[in-house]
Amino acid sequence: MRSKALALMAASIGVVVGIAGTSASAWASTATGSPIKVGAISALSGPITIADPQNTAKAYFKYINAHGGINGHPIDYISLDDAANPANAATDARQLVEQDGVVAEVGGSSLLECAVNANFYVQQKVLDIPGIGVDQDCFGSPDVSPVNTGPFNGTEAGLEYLYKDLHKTKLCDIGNNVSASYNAGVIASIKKWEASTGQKVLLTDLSIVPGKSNMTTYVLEAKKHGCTGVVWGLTSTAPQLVQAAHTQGINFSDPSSPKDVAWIGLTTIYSSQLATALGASGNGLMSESEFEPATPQDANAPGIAAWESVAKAGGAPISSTGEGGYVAAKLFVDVAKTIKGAITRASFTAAMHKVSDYVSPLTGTPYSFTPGPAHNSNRAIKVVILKGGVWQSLTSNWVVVPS
Amino acid sequence: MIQAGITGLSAGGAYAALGVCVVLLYRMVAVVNFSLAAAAADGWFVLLVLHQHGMAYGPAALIGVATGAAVSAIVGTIMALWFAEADVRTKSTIGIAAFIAINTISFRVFGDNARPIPTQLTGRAFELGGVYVTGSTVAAIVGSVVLAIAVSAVLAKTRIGSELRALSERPRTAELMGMSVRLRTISVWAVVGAIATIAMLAIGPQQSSSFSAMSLLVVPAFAAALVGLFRNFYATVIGGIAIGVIQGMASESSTFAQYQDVVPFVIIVVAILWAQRGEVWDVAR
Repeated sequence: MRSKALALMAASIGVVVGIAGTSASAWASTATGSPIKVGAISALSGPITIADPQNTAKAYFKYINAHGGINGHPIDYISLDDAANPANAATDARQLVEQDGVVAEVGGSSLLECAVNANFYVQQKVLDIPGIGVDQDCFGSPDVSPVNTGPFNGTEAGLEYLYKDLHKTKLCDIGNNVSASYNAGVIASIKKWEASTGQKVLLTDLSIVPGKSNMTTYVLEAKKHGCTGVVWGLTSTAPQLVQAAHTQGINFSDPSSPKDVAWIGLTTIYSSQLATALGASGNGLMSESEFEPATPQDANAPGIAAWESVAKAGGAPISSTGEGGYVAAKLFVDVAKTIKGAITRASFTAAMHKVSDYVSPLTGTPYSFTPGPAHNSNRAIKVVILKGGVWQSLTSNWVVVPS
Repeated sequence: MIQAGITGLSAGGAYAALGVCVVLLYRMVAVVNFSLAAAAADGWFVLLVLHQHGMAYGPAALIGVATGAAVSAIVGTIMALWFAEADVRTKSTIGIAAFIAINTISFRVFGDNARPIPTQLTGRAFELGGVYVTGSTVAAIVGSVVLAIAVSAVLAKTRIGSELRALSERPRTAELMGMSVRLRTISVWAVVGAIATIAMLAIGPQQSSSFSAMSLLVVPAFAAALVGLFRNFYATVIGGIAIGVIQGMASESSTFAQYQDVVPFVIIVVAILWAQRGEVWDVAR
């Protein structure tokens, strides 16, 4: 709405300026054309929330609007909440596609939106570029192509890192019970990794219900199975898990030591808020970063400064999931700028389908949205570790899983 | 199995304490208080926010308990002012409305971001069956038993207890005898809110940072209260601890873990059927 108001204000200024006969170039930095509508569906409330991607995408679009928009057209970003409710997700998609007439959906992050709406997007010929795709259909649908690695490639990459780099052989996977399709996707990734390495994952438990499960149970389960490396996926319950591990005498402060258990979280663990919340108690906890991490070691990596300044200016937190929103929003703008003529759903879809190797300095593998039954072009992670309440980089190279 | 059961003790202690609060309020003011855990969760989250900003645990906990008491007292005031004469059904409906209102407002205020957890009660107390039992677990179990004994004693043996019983059984008569019904009702709500918040403080470090999950702890508390048939405090404590332990045992198997939330509902149904066992089939059903 703010961007709408901004566009309206800018347009009125333009008219006044025009009447006064002043050169329009004096106002060239603000977009004045008709707005380009872009939508997003995210889990902004409910059992698990992932709000950073759309916050950061919003911040990026605000920045673009303030710098002339896309060929003079401002972006009107309509971000809706599905509250992890399938009925809401379906209603949201219909509102965005049929009522608002969005060009595409960009930078969303829902737990189930892809599963609910993937077929609808195919029918409506509209593309969805989630900042953080979660469920299996985000990575297995013709009209959805997330920019993130996702929990399935992420699970495989986490196991690979624990096994190859940290030489852990007793590996376990403990995670949230998100949905049947999500759980099936994680199990398929584990099987894929087992087949490629000949190793066996000792324990796979995807029964954690955020907010309800007692973390001590899972810590004891890992202890009982003798896990030396654990891939896990939690956010709001991470402090409870760390607390339970300390109480039950599981040491994880030095993951490279054979005596310590290496805990590596999927990318949602990597956030500045969690680092502050855990402080020194989280020392040794590792997380995947599906994008280039904003650690002290990687502060000068290409693309980091631009993302951080946009996020900070827009009031979005610095987090890995937020970075996904930024990458998706920037991808949208970069592709839209190549379109000659009006930016419509059809013209954007055609332009996007030509993207086969979009390189972002913030991702480990090039992005692709060429026509096909499934898209999961991001297959890389980096690893960060918590030390004294600050995330530090552990890997300089990307850990890439085979496609 | 035993190990998993022990991990459920801390939740069981909190269910027991919250269950005692539910029974207390029901016996005193004839209200099934759906908003109890939501008010207490407000207290816990205020403590978390204050702790996050550097306040020491003691004063932060006191302010948290005061917040829980205040939120509960606000709901109590609404009940006392406008619904004092209403039947249990109406009062329960207001309780559900209060639960939804507190939940919605508090989620917007506190969100579900991870927050630092105070470590005052998370240290090991002792080892039992290969599990290190935390101070908060001991506090929750001992606290709920002490609470049941104290509440029973106050109601049976003190003047304020007699007054409160009079208030609940014959409110009109008590009022005609010069007792301030409103003030006493609101005070009961505030005290129950404070006790529930203390229970929340004990269980909080092992629960999630999600407000809605914390506020839903009222469901197992109801199941515990039903085991005591909304009258007996000791049976409520036993019921609460049993629910916690059964849930703990269920969580050991990844198949059953997904259904551990069902445990309180099963106990609610069984308790209701047990309570109605003497009734004639056609009348009861």
